[in-house]
Amino acid sequence: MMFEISLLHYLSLASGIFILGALGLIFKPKSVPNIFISVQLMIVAICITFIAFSFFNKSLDGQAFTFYILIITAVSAVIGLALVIAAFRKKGLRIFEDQNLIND
Amino acid sequence: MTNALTFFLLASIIVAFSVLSITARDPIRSVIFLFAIMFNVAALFVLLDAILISVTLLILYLTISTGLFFCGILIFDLNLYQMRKVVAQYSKLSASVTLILLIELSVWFVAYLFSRLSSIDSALLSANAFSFSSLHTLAEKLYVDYFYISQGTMLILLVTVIGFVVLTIKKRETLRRDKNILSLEQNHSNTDSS
Repeated sequence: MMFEISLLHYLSLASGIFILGALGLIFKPKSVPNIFISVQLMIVAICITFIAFSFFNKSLDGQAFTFYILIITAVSAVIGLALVIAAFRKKGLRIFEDQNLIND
Repeated sequence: MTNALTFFLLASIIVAFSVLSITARDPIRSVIFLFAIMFNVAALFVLLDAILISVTLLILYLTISTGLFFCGILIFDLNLYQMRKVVAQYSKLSASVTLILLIELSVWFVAYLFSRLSSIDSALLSANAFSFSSLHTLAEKLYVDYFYISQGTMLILLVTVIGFVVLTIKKRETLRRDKNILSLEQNHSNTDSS
C-alpha cells in the first residue's frame, strides 16, 4: 500500500510549530532570547505553509514570498543584534537583567 | 513510501526540537535546538522541491549564528581560556544534536542507495531533480513579476545596514572624542606642572 503525503500533513506540521512558537511567546515573555526563538519558530511555520501550497498548487509564488520573508527575518536579526550591542555599550551586562531594555 | 517516511522522520524531529527549544531554561541550549530545527526544515524544503529556499535558510542561519557568536565574544569579552570553558560546557549537547543530524543524513543516504540499487525511480528523487528551468522561473517571479516587492525588500535591507552602522559606530566616535579630550587635558596639566 502506497502512503502519499498530502497538503494536510504539511499544514498540520506547520500549525503545530506555529502553536508551539505562540505558546513559547505567551508563557515566557520576559526572556529576550526566548522571544527571538519563538518568533523564529512562527516564521518557519509560515514558510512551511507557503512552500507546501507552492508545491501542491504547482506555482512558484509561495517560494518567492518565502524568499522575501527570509530576507525580512535576516533584517530583524541584524537590527536585534545592533540594538543589543548599542544597549550593552550604554548599560553593560545589566541588559540581561533589565526587563525594560527597549523603553530605556 | 520513502517520501512519507522522510516526512514523518523530519516532522517528528522538528516538533521534538521545538518543544525542547521552548522549554529549555538556558538560552544557548535553545539556540542549539533552533539550529537543529532549521537544518531539518531545510531538509523538508528539499522534499518540497524548494532547493533555493533551503540553501538560503541554511546560509541565513549560519550567518546569524556567526553574528551571535561574535556578539557573545564582544559582550562577554571572553579570553581563550574562558571560551574553552564555555565550549566544554555545551560540547555534549552539541555533539548529541550533531549525532542526530548525522544519523538523519545517513538514513537519507541509505534510502537513496537502496532506491538506486533497486532502480525504482521514487517520487522523492524524481521530484527533487535540480533543474535550472525552475530556478529561472523563480528568478523571473522574484525580479520581474514581483519587481516592486523586491525593490522594497532591497530598500529595507539598505536601511538596515545603515541603521546597524549608525547604532554600533555612534558610541565609538564619542569614546574617541572623549579620549582626545582626556589626552588634551593631560597635556595641559603636564605643561602647567612643568
